[in-house]
Amino acid sequence: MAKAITQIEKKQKNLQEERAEDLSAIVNQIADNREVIQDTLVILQELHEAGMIDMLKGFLRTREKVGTIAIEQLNQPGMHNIIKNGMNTIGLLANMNPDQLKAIFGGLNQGLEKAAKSTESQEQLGMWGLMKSMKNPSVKTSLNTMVSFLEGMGDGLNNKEIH
Amino acid sequence: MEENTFSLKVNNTDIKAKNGQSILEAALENNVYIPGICSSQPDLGIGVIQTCDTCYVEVNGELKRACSTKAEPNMTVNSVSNSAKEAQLEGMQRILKNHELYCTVCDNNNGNCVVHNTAEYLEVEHQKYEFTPKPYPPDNSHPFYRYEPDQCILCGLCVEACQDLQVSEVLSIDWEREQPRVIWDNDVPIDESSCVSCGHCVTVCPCNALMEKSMLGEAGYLTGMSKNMLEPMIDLTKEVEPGYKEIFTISNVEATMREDRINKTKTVCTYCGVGCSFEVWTKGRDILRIQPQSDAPVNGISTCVKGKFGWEFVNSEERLTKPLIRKGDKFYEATWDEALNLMAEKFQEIKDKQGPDALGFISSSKCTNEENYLFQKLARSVFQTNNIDNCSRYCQTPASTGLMRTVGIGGDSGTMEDIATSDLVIVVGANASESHPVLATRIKRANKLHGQKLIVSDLRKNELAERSDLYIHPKPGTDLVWISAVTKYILDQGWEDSSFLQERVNNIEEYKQSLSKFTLEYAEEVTGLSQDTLIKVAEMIHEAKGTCILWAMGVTQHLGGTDTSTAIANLLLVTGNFGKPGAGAYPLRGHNNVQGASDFGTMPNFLPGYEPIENDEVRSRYEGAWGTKLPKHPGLNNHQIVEAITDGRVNGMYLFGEEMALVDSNINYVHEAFEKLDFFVVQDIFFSKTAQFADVVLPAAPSLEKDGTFTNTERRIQRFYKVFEPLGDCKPDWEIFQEFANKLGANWNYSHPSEIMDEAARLAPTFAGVSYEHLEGWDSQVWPVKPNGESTPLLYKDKFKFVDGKARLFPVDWTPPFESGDEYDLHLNNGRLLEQFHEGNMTNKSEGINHKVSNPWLEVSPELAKERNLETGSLVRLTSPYGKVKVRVLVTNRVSGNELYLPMNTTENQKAVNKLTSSYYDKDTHTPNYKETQVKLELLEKEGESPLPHHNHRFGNPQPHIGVEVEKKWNRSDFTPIPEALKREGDSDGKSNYAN
Repeated sequence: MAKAITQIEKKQKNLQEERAEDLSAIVNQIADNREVIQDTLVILQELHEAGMIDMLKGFLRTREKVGTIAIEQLNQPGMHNIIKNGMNTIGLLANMNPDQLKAIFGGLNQGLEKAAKSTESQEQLGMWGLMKSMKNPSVKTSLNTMVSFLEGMGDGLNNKEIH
Repeated sequence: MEENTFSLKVNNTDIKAKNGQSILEAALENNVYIPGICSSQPDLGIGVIQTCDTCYVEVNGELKRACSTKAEPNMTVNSVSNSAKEAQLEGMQRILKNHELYCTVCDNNNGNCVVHNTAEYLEVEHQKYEFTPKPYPPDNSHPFYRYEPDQCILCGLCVEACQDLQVSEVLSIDWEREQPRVIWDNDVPIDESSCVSCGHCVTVCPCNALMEKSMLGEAGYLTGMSKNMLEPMIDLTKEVEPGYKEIFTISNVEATMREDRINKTKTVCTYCGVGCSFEVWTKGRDILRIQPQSDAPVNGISTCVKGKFGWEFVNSEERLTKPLIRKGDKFYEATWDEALNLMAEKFQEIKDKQGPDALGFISSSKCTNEENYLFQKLARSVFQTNNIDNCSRYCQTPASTGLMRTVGIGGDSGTMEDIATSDLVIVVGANASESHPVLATRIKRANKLHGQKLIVSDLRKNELAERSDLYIHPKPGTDLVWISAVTKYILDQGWEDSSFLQERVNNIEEYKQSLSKFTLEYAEEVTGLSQDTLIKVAEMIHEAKGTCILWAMGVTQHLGGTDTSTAIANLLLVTGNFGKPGAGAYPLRGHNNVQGASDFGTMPNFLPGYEPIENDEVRSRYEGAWGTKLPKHPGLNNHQIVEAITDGRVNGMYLFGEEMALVDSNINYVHEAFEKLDFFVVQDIFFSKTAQFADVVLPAAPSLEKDGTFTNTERRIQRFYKVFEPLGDCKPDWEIFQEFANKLGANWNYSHPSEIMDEAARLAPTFAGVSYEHLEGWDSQVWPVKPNGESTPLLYKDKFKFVDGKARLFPVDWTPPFESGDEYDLHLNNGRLLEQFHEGNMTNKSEGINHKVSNPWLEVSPELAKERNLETGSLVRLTSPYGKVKVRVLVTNRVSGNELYLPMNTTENQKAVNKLTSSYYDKDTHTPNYKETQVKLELLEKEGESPLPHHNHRFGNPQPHIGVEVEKKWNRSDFTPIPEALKREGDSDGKSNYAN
């Protein structure tokens, strides 16, 4: 004879038992990963001494506010330009041929050296001197390069739709 | 097939196309990618939607949509030429005008976002047309999904899905207004529309406009961000606009990272016999979404509200997680060892003292094939009894028996494909739209789009009846009479399939004679259907190339349920409607594994595969394999077990996964029986009504927490995979049986359900080639399965399942339905409903489903309401000779005259329909006659709240039309066809703005 009943007496696995089970699971995991955990503790200690943990804690606890401020700051016209310019520059660098750039930079470097020397000596170059330097093969090469550069840049400016 | 294929050139590659294919279809089949956002769901509706304009290709120098241009022999197609790409890009740009791209912080960024992937393919760099928000707020009114107009690209996939696949006809795009949008019904909030919450629209949405609420803020790493962070972030991204390429790189990385924490596991739905399969997306123990895939063999991308949204129960606080033992008038939590030891001791004691047949075993049609196999093995081999049965006894045993009498196999003759492609579908006493929703969509769609004819015979004007070409309403319990009269009329007209009868059917003459009484006059008198109607039915069957007859509880739950099922099979035999595609008999199995439970032997008279236990050869095969003697004589069925408990012949019972205390008929009687048991074990996922009578309650794991297979109504075996670990201490049912058997020294050693299936396949010839390797992923097998693994989707192609291979016409006579007496003047019909599964133990844990339907209601016809002074909300008491219930009234045209309808979705005694049903039963199978119930009605309170909330779909206002109606888009003054637009741009500035 068993009437329908609805009362259920839950075995209150008392809190301590439950805790003990959870803890032993954790302890096992720690024991299995001893080396990793010890290393991690060392890193944490270093971070703590350097004050990084404290900073991180502050940041995380205020992440919503900080995040909003950061995004607001980022979302300004000046910042837009920085990001856009940054992206464009990255794009430019991506498209450049490193060998060519290396040659140009090499030239630029030597040019700079000479230029620096000439400012030191403070010699004034007269009209004649300028004309004469045109005959110098090095100057010729340089000018040639610059004219070619101007030509290419003109092409680029005239044809915006390069994809 | 070969002569129907031809070749054409796409992007300089020769590809093969079939006659009638579009360029897009042919290209995709040959692995040549052409974009096409609105073609991303080829199984939808009418096929070609033409809204997205991203599939333009150059055909002989002219721009054409690849989706709507037929492939032709020797055609030259280019999808990557400058002008084709330009046109595709223009299509994409127009889409992006309607859709803000913030992929990395979008919950749809899961690698499968069609809009994202198409934009990426087209190398969209910048927005051409500025995105402007639409003047509509998001619609969050529905409990399970939202619509965000600002993200909606107006592709209309959702509309197609709703209009032409689900065929609920709720969604449209209103192309007339300044800013078009998707609307529900005639533009009401989603929650107040006729939306049945099937989820089709959400599944097909190619972006995040329609999305499950369970995904929002959960799927991505950054999507849970608060609004005051998210909005400026989107602004910033847009302002900086580094080009979408960079954004896509980041979003792709994020999408890949999501794979680490979102698991996608295939499962098979447990909410009806259709057998939908789909992926469950989970994060930890949270279900993010149910994601159907077109590879699913039964349902493709279709689902219903329960399959798509009804899984909250797995994480319910109310789940049983520990074994319980009754001591006095309380249950106490116990360990598995305590519970199983007690069970072993008590069952052994009963077996020793009263004999093996003093034990009863009730199996579950909700649990797996493997679990059913193991449970009958437990009863038969460990306890030496055949007293084992499952819940198909309550529903489908009469149908199986009727088919075994006539054609030999108790199952559907074919598959969903046959139903979908049939010329004529006849539905008798089944409410497929609510009880088999996804199967019903195939019928509704064939009827709406493909000219399939539909006849519905039912007491209620259910959804299919509303849509049918011919709805007939015979008097309750008289189906056998009209079916037999139609058969006789067909024979009298000489419309039978005589060569089929001659070659493939026995017993023709005797059968013809048995029909003599079923004249049209007699049938008219008994059924109330006019002779014209009966002739009309006969003519429609005669004119159809193939007829499928579908039936369910409206036929089987009667005193003569087996006979009516037999009459259906007889009609199909006479008209030659077996063994060919698009025809046959389809008893619609109610629960997910009604078919499989019986298939795998939880029946008192059958071992697995319907092999008789009495057959010495069969039995000795199992005795050899199991190493034990087995009892020869068939045991008691469900009904007889309850009877035997009442008589004191059965004293111990083990029941799992079955809410017998609510779903058996005449539950007052059943409760009394349960109280008499000496020892009762109930195994379930919840503390059910049945469990309240138990001595030991065992916590079981639901399908999402175990591996196994189910067999759907088509006889299709499908595998599902474990999604979660079992909750608490609960265990999969098969593990519990094994541990229990081993307490009694059985020494079973199964480590995975696949090993149980292997054993069943070795022993039962019907399943010879069934194995888990053949059931990987979306693969399935339809039994009988040959040893090489080959399925049999269509039965009886060559022979019927009798020794001589011929079917048998089986004479049957009409059994008039049970009458309770004049005092009980109203007929009470009953059954399931769409939103809640069965009595509701599982689905009623879902807040969203309860929001839509939380209570049963009593359907009363307007005539009767007027006569008895009732209105919607009135509280009434119904009384039958067996009990009473108190329920609220819903006045509706679905029922007529003195016929009432009460769904079974309650776990409360005083609303439970089975307080009213009797203990009479089908004379051949003992299936209760649930559908032969009469009651009297008393009004208790005239006014009250409607038992069905006004935001239920039944009060909606559907807007039927075919598909998305793209012509309306094209007729808008602001629409310029893309080729024209590009030409104009070209003319004005000399060349295109787009180089790629």
